[in-house]
Amino acid sequence: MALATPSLFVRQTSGLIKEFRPIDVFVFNTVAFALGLVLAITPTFLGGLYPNANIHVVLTLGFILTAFNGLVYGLFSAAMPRSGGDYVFISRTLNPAVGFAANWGFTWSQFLGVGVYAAWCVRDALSPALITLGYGMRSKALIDSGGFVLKPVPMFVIGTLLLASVLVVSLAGTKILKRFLNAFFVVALIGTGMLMWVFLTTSHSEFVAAFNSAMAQQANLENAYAAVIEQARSNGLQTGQPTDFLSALLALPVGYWVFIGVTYSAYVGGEIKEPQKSQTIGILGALVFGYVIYMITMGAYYDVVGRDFNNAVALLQTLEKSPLPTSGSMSFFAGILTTNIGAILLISVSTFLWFFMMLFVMATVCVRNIFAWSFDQLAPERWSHTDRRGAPRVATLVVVGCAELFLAAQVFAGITFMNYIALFSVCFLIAGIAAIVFPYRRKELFEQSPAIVRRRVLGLPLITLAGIGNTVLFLLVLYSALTNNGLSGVTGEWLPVYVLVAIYGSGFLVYMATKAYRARGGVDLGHLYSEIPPE
Amino acid sequence: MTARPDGREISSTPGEPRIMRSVVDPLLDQARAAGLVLRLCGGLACWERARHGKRLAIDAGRTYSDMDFAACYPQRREIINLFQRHGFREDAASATVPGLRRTILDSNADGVRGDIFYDVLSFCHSLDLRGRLELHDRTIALADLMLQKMQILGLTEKDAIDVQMLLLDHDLGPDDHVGISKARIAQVCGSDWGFFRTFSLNIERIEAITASSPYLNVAQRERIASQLARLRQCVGEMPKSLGWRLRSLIGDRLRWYETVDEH
Repeated sequence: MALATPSLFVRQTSGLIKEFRPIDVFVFNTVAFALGLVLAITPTFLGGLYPNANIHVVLTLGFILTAFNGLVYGLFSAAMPRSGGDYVFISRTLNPAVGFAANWGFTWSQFLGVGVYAAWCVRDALSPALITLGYGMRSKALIDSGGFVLKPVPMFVIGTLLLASVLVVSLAGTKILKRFLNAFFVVALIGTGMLMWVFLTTSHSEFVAAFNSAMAQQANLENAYAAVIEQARSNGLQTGQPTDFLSALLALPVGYWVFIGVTYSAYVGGEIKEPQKSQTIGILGALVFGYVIYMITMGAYYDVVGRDFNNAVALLQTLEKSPLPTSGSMSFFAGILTTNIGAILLISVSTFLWFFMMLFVMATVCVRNIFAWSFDQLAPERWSHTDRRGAPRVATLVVVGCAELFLAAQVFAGITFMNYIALFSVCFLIAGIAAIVFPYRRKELFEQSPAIVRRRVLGLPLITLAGIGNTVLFLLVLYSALTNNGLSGVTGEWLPVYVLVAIYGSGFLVYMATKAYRARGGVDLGHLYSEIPPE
Repeated sequence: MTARPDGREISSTPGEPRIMRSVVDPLLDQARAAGLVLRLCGGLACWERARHGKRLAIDAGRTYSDMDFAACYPQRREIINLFQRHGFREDAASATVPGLRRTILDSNADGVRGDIFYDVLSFCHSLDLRGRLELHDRTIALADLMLQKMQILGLTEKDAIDVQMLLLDHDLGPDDHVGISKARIAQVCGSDWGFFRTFSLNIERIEAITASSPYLNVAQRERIASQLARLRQCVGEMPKSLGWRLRSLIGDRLRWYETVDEH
């Protein structure tokens, strides 16, 4: 018999105990864009791509356009407080096939992300932490172990252990996961505070002296600061260049990249207390918080380290000619600036935690998407089965299993055929288009949404304006991701594009095949689109 | 007279909520026939277990718009299928939350809504029902019904009427076999200070409501008041756990209840 089409809206009073309060939403989203990770690696990332871009301008442009993205997801989440995020928003606004394919593509980006970030957790957090601590403690063993973990087998084993911990915590339930994230968030934030303090209280000359001293002692390299810049100059770096606005504009994808994840609470929409308020506060609050911390810390960093030196390190890393013992991250330089082992340890642990916690958020997002598909009968029902304790064992195993495969591919071969940024950008772009037309195409849903969703600015619905800004943002990001291999990290001209098309195309195929299969059982998946909220 | 599938015959009660016969009875009967543990809880369960109290509910104008059930989590899928066969559908927002021990049912064609709680009743406090669902064949045990109502911070008049119905018809007994089990109430309130605190506040609240309820006669008021006094004595004299004592030192300075979502 045909099952009744599920309703889009929860009852006015569900009386549910929901796990995510506004502060939890804030933490979830801040962890999702991994504030400390961004601080650690963005300056050299930006320096390698757009050396003449002013970091403050890049961050501000990114913040403004990401605010549109945050508004789109915050307002949609308030209108449709369900797990699954853009799958629900797009399928109910545009078309179920488009909604599923978009979210399918996004979810694959997260499978990839969990696997790759597990590897990067070792490469960009654990290894630099061991080496930085080794420098601070004058321990060759620590420095050597920092190099050892970069070898493929140790990296794969450690990455696998990290993914195993994701599995264990995820199966322990949302309450445990939330407590886990909140507790580590505090530790990570204290470490980031320490990082800020180090750069805010150090002068440029002190940094040059400290860097030269450290490199002389550990790498036997005299006057290393000037030597690094000179080496980069001989490899084509132009120094003493002023910053220009065009470079900052071109660097907009980086300005967005630093906030990727700020909307991820949209995917756990069914678990958020007072979603009308919490989602908007949690998303925009995290965005503003990140922006302020970035502006202060990165501003101080550039003043202390010097833009030419930062760009020199970035270029030499790209050319694999860097004399530094590890990647030139902000946390590594902070470790050089302080002799306090406790401070170095805290900064190192903090950087690691920002990477590590992000794995849990991404895995949670994937599990919720699978639950949303399964509820709409687009994925096998057993994928959303829970065990006697309520743990989503099958969905979590699917997520961690996929991530493990991507981890292995990343460690042993290097994934340069999947364009991570383009993968999720396609989905976010479609969500922006859905936001533009939502008040007109689903008038009845819009009119029944909370007041914050129905708000108008200059006579136009706020969600439509936000959708326009979001669409502009992701057209730019997508263009950059598809045309700038340095940004996307892919190699080859067409293979990554084929992979991108194949992933989204397979989403459509899966939808069509499932629709045909369900139709044979008397279920019309097309009803997902026409459902209306109960009166 | 109406015959149930199990052969027992029941007579309809004047003023009985419409959904009792049209929806609840068929669900409970079919669940039993399928070997599923499904028990009524909440307001309709109080009606089901009341005798003279039914008159009280009618006089008070107590209406029943939704139904609550308790069930075993491992049987969740079969239970949901049963409800779907009766025209109910799962609420999407709650159905996509992993591990939620509750199914929210959207209104069926007749506008009847419902909730199914698995193993635990989670509102302002948690009431673990594992191992206790089979104490009665149609509802959860009287003591659990009482605790379900008394864990609500901000008790409504409807909830107060339900408690009054229970107290009017059932004495406090030593265990679940005779009336409302003092042992069960003592066990729950004696191990969780927060539950005890809300329970105690609600005794005061129901005393106040009872004193001013126009639908109660003098005898009913006195009966309910004396029952409330026994309940107060029960939770006051029960043995307290170490955790209870430690938590009591903090008192109301720290929130002692969960907040439920109103949206």
